[in-house]
Amino acid sequence: MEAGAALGLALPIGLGLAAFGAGLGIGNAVSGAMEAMGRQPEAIGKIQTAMLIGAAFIEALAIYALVLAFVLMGKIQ
Amino acid sequence: MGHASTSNLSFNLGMAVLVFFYVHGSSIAKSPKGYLAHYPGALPSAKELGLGLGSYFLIGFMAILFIVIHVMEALIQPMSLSLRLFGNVLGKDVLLGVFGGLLQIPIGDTAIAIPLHIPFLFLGLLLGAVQALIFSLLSAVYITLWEPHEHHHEEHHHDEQGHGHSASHAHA
Repeated sequence: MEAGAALGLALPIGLGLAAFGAGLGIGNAVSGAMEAMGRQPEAIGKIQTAMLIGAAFIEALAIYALVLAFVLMGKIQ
Repeated sequence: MGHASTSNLSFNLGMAVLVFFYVHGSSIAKSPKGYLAHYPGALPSAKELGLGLGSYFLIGFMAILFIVIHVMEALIQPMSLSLRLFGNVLGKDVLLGVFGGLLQIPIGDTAIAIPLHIPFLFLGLLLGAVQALIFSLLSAVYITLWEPHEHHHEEHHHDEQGHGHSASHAHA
């Protein structure tokens, strides 16, 4: 297989895998936060802020894959 | 394709570098010694390890390791801050572009595109607000993390060597 064609196959698969992992991670984080919010409604503000920060860190991993995909997109033949 | 100013990496990198200089500048301005003490972190004393001469080697090794980790952390923070914003906004822009040109009705030589991307404009509005919140929130978190007397080091100090630093750490 040619390198350009291999990249064309690998890039979407890699992006999908990154989205899969990030989805699992954010799902875990948000489910924990929701549970905590239900148990302690008075702490919703604090929990929400911490959840957003954590979600941003997890999401950044998928975003790196996306940026890499944009960078490498020009090399697909 | 829509062009947000933050879908250009230079713009984000400029803001992130500004945050980087503010984080370290404000920390150094508060206490240069406390700033430098942040790099090796809260190391155990030789007495605590109780390995004789070996404990000094172990502490030196740990100090070097922690300094390398903290320097890497300091350099990665602005990169992740800018790349996150860049990737999110560029992803949104590409999505708008793809959906804007997805369905085209050819009329003679030209074509009319059906604006399928309009619902995503509102999604982009939401995304922009969330990303702005996250950028400012993370900047604030970095500023507090790099403050000379850090919170998670604080607890160690209180537990293990509170007697030595009690005067400087009491206020937190």
